Amino acid sequence: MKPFVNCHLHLFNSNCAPDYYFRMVLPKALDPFANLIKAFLEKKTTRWAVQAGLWMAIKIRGGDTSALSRYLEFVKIGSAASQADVFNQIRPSYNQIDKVRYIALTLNMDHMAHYNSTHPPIDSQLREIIDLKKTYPDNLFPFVSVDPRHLGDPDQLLAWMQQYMNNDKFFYGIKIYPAKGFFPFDPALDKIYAFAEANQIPIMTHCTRVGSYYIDTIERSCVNENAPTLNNNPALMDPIRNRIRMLLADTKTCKNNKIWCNIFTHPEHYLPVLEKYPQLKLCFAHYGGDKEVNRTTASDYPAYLSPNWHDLINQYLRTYTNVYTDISYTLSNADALKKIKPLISSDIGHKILFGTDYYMVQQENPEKHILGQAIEILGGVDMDKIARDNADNYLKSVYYP
Amino acid sequence: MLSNPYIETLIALIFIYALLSTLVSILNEWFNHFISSRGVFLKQVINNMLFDPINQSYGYLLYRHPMIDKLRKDNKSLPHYISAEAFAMATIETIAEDAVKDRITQENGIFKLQEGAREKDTVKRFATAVENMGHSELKKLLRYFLERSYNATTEKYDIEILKKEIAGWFNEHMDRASGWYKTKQRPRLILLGFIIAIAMNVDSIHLTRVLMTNPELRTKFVNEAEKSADVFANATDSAVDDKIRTVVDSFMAHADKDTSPSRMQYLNKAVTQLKMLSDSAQQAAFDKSLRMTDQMAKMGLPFGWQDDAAPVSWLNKHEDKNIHSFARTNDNYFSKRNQFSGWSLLVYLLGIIITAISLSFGAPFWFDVLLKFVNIRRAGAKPTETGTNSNKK
Repeated sequence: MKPFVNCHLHLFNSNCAPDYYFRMVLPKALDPFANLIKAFLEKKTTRWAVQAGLWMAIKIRGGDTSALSRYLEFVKIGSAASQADVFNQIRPSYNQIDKVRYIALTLNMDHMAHYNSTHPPIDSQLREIIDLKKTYPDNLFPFVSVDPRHLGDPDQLLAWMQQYMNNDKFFYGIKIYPAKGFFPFDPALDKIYAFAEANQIPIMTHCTRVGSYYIDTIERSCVNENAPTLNNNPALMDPIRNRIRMLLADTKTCKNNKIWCNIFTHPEHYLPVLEKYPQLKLCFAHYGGDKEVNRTTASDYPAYLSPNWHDLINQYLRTYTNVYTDISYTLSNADALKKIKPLISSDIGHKILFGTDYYMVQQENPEKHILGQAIEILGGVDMDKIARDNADNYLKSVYYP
Repeated sequence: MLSNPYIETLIALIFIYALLSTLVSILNEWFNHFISSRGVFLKQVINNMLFDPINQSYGYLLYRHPMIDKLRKDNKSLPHYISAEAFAMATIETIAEDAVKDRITQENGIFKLQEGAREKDTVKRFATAVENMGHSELKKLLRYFLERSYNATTEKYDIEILKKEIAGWFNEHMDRASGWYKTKQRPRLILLGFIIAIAMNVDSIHLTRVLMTNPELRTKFVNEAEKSADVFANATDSAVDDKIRTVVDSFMAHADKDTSPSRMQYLNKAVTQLKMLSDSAQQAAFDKSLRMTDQMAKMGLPFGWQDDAAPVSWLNKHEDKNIHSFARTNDNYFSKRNQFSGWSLLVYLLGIIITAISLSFGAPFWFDVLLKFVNIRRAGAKPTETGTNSNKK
């Protein structure tokens, strides 16, 4: 039997995040205190005090404290001392399943803003994962996080990535997270895609409207209607440039990073890449997000960031041989999962992967609950298809024969 | 012996600050333990020492090394103390790991670790890893340590010398770091000083005034201060913290004999909550401190929140506010203090601020100052009845 693969989980802890990371969740007025608040929330005693205070406030006002408990559980996992500690917390949830493998997606958070930070850079995060891989050689299959801004030179970036990807090393795929502040068609990624296509190396990319994102101002970002691209086909780039133009003219949205960073993640912005590398094995994670699946996306996303991302991903699944998607985080919404179920038996069912997005999904429900709900809604046959058969095809490469 | 009400008031005040500072220290130690302050600070210092923007974040990786990782109390805490030897060995091993070429192999669909050939000589592995590092300040420093560990006679690196070099670097850094740590603690000590000053209602200006106008109370505390100074001075073989503990125990010899009700109810309540979050040693320290402050109040010091004393008296409607039990004369000061006015508020707040800042200096500082003033008082001559002084020295 093929291994059961959770193709989307994270093991980086708060040590790996930059000191200014909390600017993403705090109101702007508290930005100067972001570093201090991060340091405080990492201490269990402060989390206890915050939890007690907020719990009382919610109880007094009348409300549900379970969301608070889940969020603080998420912070607690993220504050684990090491990535090994994070990994040790997910494994018991899969004790009932035979032969489990985990795709751990590392994340380069070194370029989210121009502020200084003392956090360990990506190489130290990867080095720690290598140690963990040595401990669990048959269970853990990490992907190396690539950011076009890393090292500032495409050739150096490729060489850097290759040192982690060759047979002596311990990585089996590439993770990109454009919402951190770059376009997927960035020319610095050209050689990365070429290498990945030639060796059938799987790429995982974040593709939902929410999640973490670039923290700095739009003026400091690379958002520019003349942004360089690895594929100048006007049929593909003109609509993208037009979208960028509309965003830049929308000054209100330009102040809200949570919304405007969608410009980096929009599924259509992968078309220049897929046209140049049609055999590229690319997984659009999260299937567009539960709100796109349920068609309940908030109206504060402007029309130029449409159309529906879930529909676009389905279109690409049908158009490109090696495009995949996964149900990570989205599966926490039972309604969305029920809508996805019939797709698993459809013509694109062989391209849907199982993943949970641990431990981010802890904000919705514990991993064991998420897994149990998925088995209940999808059933054993579909679960085996997406977690065993499809995952095996997705992972196949020169490094995963 | 120099008998001067000003010197005596100062001695009594210093002694009171010394005792109250022990409570500030206990609270500070409890808080440090609660938030693992030492562990976090140590990690920051080590991260700074091993900071390298070009290569790996070795400070971060050092904490993953089993020699350091196993020092954790549990998987959420950080070690509060790392010996220089452990630091040196873990640093060498962490960096040397870069020279090891393990790989993953696959057979029949199963992935296994194939450990690479491992150079048995740790220093050789370390030297290889350092040479392979990108050029950085840390690389220069590590190379320097390597060169100093090279034995020209045997033409080999000596691991004991290398460890000694790195351990020496660590110790030098820690000596400086302890100073930085104390400086970092200062704002918290001032905050705790404020908490104690307010919880016990210790207004330094009022306290000074009471001591000046109450010779009996002043004498009582000067005698206690002198006894305590002798105890402190005689405990020559003990560490400062132990000396202070001995002094407090000696002062506390009176405490158990006085069974009158506590005057520190609010402080007692607050500390009771903290005790629930403390271990047994901290609880014992809290208990002792509470009894000590209570004893001080029962001896006649103007501590605590009483109806007939400012600032609670400001809320009372009684016409005659001059019912303060510390008033020994018809001093207008006491009646003015117990009535609310802008001036009395300002003076009260100033008194609290002086207390808070004074307590933040810590008990060792105040006991040192106490010794000096007690010696000054003992060295000065008593004025004779004829009005002539003779210097007893």
